[in-house]
Amino acid sequence: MSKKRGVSGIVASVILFTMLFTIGTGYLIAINQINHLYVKTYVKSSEQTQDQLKERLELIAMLVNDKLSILTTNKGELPLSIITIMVRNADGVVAGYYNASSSTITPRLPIFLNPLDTVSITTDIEPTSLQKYEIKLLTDRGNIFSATYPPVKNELAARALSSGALGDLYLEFNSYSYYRVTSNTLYYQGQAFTIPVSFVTNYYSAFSLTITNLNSEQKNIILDGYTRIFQFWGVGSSMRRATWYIVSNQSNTILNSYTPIELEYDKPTVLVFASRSPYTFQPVRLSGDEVPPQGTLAGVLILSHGWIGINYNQIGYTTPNYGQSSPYVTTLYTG
Amino acid sequence: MCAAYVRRRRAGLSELVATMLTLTLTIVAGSAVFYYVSARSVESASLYGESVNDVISFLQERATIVDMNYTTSSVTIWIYNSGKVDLELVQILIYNYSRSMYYLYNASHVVDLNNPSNYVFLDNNPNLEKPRLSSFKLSPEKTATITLTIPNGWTNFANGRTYYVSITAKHGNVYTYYQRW
Repeated sequence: MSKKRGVSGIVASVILFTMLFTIGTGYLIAINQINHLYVKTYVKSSEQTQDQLKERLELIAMLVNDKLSILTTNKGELPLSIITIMVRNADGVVAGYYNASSSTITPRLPIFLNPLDTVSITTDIEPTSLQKYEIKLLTDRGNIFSATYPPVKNELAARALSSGALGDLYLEFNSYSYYRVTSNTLYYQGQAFTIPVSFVTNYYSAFSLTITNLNSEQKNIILDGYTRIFQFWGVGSSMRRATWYIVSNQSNTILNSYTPIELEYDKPTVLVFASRSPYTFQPVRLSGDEVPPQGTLAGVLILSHGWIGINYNQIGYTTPNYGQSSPYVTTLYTG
Repeated sequence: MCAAYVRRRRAGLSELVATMLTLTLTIVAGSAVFYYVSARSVESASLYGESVNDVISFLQERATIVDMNYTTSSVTIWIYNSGKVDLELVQILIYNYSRSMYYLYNASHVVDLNNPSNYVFLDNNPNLEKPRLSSFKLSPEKTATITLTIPNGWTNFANGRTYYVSITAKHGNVYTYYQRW
């Protein structure tokens, strides 16, 4: 009798355990899978948020060949993709909307940028002098980066201090070039950082550089005929100098008389210096004390003079109110 | 001995029947409890799964409002889906800083929230919401626009003012953006 009671108890326990185990295990497995899915999604979502926060794009809006361009540098830690660009004018009107199907933007979107990569994006928008624009770039992670054209004052100050200007004029370093002048025609020779002495003694010479008005109040600057390139070498009583005054030109031809040149705000302008005297073109061929000895490293200054914040039509009735001396580059005269 | 033998046989039969009945009852009751508990656990897991699925959808739903473009009586909103699921919208609020303008656009109505009795049926004026929110679905990594028009007689947008847009998406995320006209 006692043996039969023991068997039924065990059987009942096994059945009960099996039932509970079946239900409990199934439930736990299901909950575990759901939790796993949740944790996985949460982690991915957090990573996406972190990646989004790590994106950093630096934009500078400028004009290139009269077209609105955006110089874009990926300053973040991750590669990114620019998928959409929107340009609005000050009236809130969309002046341009560019996406992967737009063919009027160079390069085509999307644009992939690795960290520290830079790309210049050129739109088909030609800003008028008084129009202001807001440019927005959208990345595939959903970040929006924006810039304004013309740039705001802080941005301009940073640009000027970082790369080329003291005062109002931004001087494009690599644009410093020299020319041979024959019958008012300019013949490009190369960058003017190194020039043979024989060149400036045998030929009429000229220089050019690209200059941009970055006045913090966005005023125009008009250069009068006294604006010049001034080269100097030696010290004390042995200091020598040579000067090339600014000239007006049409393409590669120098005009005989100089007409004041207006530098519109943030619009790069090529200036040519080729005359021995102000306002009238007199070609420069160096001789005597003007000739730098071989091996001379001449300092080069841009002496600019004229008007600032004055309507061009009014300069004949206004005393010049602008002058700036810009330390710029050097020229090595070789044998 | 013979009488005792007969009594033992009778007792054995009733014991067998009783055992069978007990066993049947136990199995039936046990099965019922098993299936009840099993069904409850499945239901519980399913409800939990649905709840977690909602949270997952909430986490995967992301959007960026890129821009707003105004006319006197309308605003076009650029939206980018930066999430992992289709973006569907439930309602859009348009308002100014003081909320003296406070309009609600949903799938069926445009409502002036400062005066809720002032509303317009979109079925009668479908042009007020293009596209209709009921049909708006934006795939991940796509951009789309929605143009909302203010009903006739309501306060319009004014140049130079800043307006806010607050978009509620299907899974509960709210995206707010503002821009000056």
